[in-house]
Amino acid sequence: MNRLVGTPRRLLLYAREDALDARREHQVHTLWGLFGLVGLVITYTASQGTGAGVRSEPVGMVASLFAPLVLLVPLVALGFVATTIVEKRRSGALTVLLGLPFARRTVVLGTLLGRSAVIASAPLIALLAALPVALATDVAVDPGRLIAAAVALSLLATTFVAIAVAISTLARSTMLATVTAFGAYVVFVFDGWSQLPAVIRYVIHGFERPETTATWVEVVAATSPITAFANMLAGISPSLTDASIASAAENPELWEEPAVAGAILVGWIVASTGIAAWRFRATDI
Amino acid sequence: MAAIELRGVTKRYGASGLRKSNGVTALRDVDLRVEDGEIFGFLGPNGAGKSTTIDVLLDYLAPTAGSVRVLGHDVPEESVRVRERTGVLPDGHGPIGERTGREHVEFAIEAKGADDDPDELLGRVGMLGPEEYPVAQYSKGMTQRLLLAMALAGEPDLLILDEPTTGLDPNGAREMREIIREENARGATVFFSSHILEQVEAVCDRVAILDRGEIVTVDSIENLRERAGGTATVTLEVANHDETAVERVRAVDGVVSVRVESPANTVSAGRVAAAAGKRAGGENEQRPSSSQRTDSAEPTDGAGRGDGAERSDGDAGKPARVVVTCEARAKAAAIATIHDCVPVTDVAIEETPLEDLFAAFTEGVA
Repeated sequence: MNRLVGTPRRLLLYAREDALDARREHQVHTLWGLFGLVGLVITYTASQGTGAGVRSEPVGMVASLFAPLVLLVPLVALGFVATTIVEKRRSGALTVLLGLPFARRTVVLGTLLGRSAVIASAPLIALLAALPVALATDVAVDPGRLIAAAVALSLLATTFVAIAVAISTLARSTMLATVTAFGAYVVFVFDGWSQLPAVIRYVIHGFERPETTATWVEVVAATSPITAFANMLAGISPSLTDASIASAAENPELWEEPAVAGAILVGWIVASTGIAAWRFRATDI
Repeated sequence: MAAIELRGVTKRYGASGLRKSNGVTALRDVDLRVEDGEIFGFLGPNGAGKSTTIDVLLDYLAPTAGSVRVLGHDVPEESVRVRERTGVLPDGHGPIGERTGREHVEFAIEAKGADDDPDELLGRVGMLGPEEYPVAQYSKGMTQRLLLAMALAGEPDLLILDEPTTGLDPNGAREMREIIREENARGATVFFSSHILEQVEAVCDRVAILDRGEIVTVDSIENLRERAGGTATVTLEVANHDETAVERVRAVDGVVSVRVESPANTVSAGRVAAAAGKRAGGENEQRPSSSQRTDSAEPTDGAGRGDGAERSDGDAGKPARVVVTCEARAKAAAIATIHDCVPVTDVAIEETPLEDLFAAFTEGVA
C-alpha cells in the first residue's frame, strides 16, 4: 500500500524539483526571455507589415508566430534537456538521487514531466508576450487559433522533450548527448527522416532512382514527429497547417489522418520514455 | 535477521567493442552477512572492490551473478523498498544542480516521507549556517556532512556509508563517529567502508577485509589480532602492589613477560585512562600511539626495556603499575587474574598496530 502511495508522490516530487532545478540554473529565465522577445519582435514586425499599405493581406498574430515557434521548440527541447540526466550522472548527483527511494523509471518520468512543463511554457510565454502588442497594433488575434496553437505546441514540446530524455539516458557523455541531440534536430526538423527510406531504396536499386513509390516509404515518412505534427494540425486547426514548417497531406492516407498523426506523436513520447526507462534500468551508475 | 546478505556475488565489468576479453572482475563469489544492529566495517586496499560492493547493495550496479538481500528485500527487484529504510552516504557524489544545503535535506526528508525537522538534522551534522548556500560551493568535508544529514532523514534502519570521513577534519571525523554510535544505539545497523583503520576500530563490532574482489576474513578486530598472532601490552594501575598477583599472572598461558613499575612514573595516567575509557565505549577517544606509550611508560630501573627481564619496582602494599606483555588471546585472562588479587584502578591495552594487522590479511597497500 505504501508502495502504491509512495510512487506517484515521489514522481510528482521529482518532477517538481526537476522543474525548479531549471529555474535555479536560470534555464527558465533564459527560455522565457528568448521566447518573450521572439513573440514581441515578430508580432511587432507583423504589425508594421499590415500597416500603411505595405502589405495588402493582413497576417494574424498566431500565423506570424507559429512557424518560428515550431522551429524553436524542438531546438530548445533537445538543447536544454538532452544533457540533463547524463550531466547528473557525470557530476555524481545521480548517485545522491538514487541513494534516496526513487526508482529509475521515476527519474526518467520525473525528468520528462518536469522539463516538459518548462519547455512547454516557453511558446506560451511567446504567445502571451505577443498578445498586448497585437492588440495595441491591430494585428488580428483569433482566440480559437491561439488556444489550438498553445495546445499543439505543448504537445510538440513534450514529444521532443521525451526524445531528449531518451538521448540523455542512453548517452554515456555530455558531448555525445549534445551531438546526438543536434543530429536528431537535423533529422526530424529538416526532413532527414523522410529522406532516409528514399536513400535506402536508392541504394537497394543499384544507385538508381526507383520508378515507383513504395507505400512503406510513405508510412515511414509520416512517422516523423514534424510531419505527424503537421498532419495532426489539419484536424485541430487547418489554418495553422499553412503556418507550420511542414505541410499536411492534401488527400491523407490512413497513416496521415489527424487522429493517427496525433497517435504517432503520443507514440513517440511513449516509445522514447519506455526505451529510456528500460535501458536506464539496466545501466550501471 | 541479517541486515545485509550477499551470496556468491560476482561483478564483472565488461569491455566494449573488440576488447571484450579485457573485462575486469571486481568481485568474485562474495559471501557476506551483516547482522541486524551491528556496526560493520568494510576494509580493503585500493581497488579491492569495496565501493563496488556498496554499489551492488544500493542497486547502482547489477551483480553479474549471485543474490543480494538488504533488510530482507531482494535488491535488484525491490531496491526502492530497501532505500526507503536505508540512509546512504555514497562515494563519488555530487550536488543536485544548484540546490542549497537546506533544499537537499528537505528533498531527502520529503522523498522518504519523513517528518524530520531540517534544522535539527543540519544542526546535528554542524551545517547550520552554510545551509542557505548552493552545495556546489561547499568543500568536500561540508558536502560529506550534508550528505550524512540526508542519510539520517527518516530514522533509517540501515546506514550505508562509503568512506564517510573523507575530507573531514579531526573534529568532523569524531562527530561522524559519535553520530554512528548514536544511530546504532537507536537500533540502526551501520555498514561503512573506510581506509582509516583507527576509524574502523573505534566504532566497529566486526569488520570484513576485502582483497582483490574476495572476502579475506570477517571477524571482530580483537579476534583478527588473535588470529594474526600479534602481541598486546596490558597496563594495569593497581591500588597496592602484590607479588602474588604478579606471580599468578606470569603463570597465565600466553603471557610473555610481566613487570612492575613505580607509581612515580604515572605521567601518562590521563592518556592511559582515556585509552581504557575508549574500549569501554566512553566518550573520550584519545588513544596514545605506540611511541607515546613507550616514552611515557619508561621504567625507573631499566626493567622491561626489551631485554625480556621481569623485574619488580614496586613496594608491597603501595600503588603500582603492572605491565603485562602477552599474546592477544591472553589479554582477558591476564586482566582477570590481576583483578582477582588486587583492586585495579585503571586498565590500558595496546594492541598490534592495525596497519600490521591489515597487512597480515591482504597483499595490497591500504
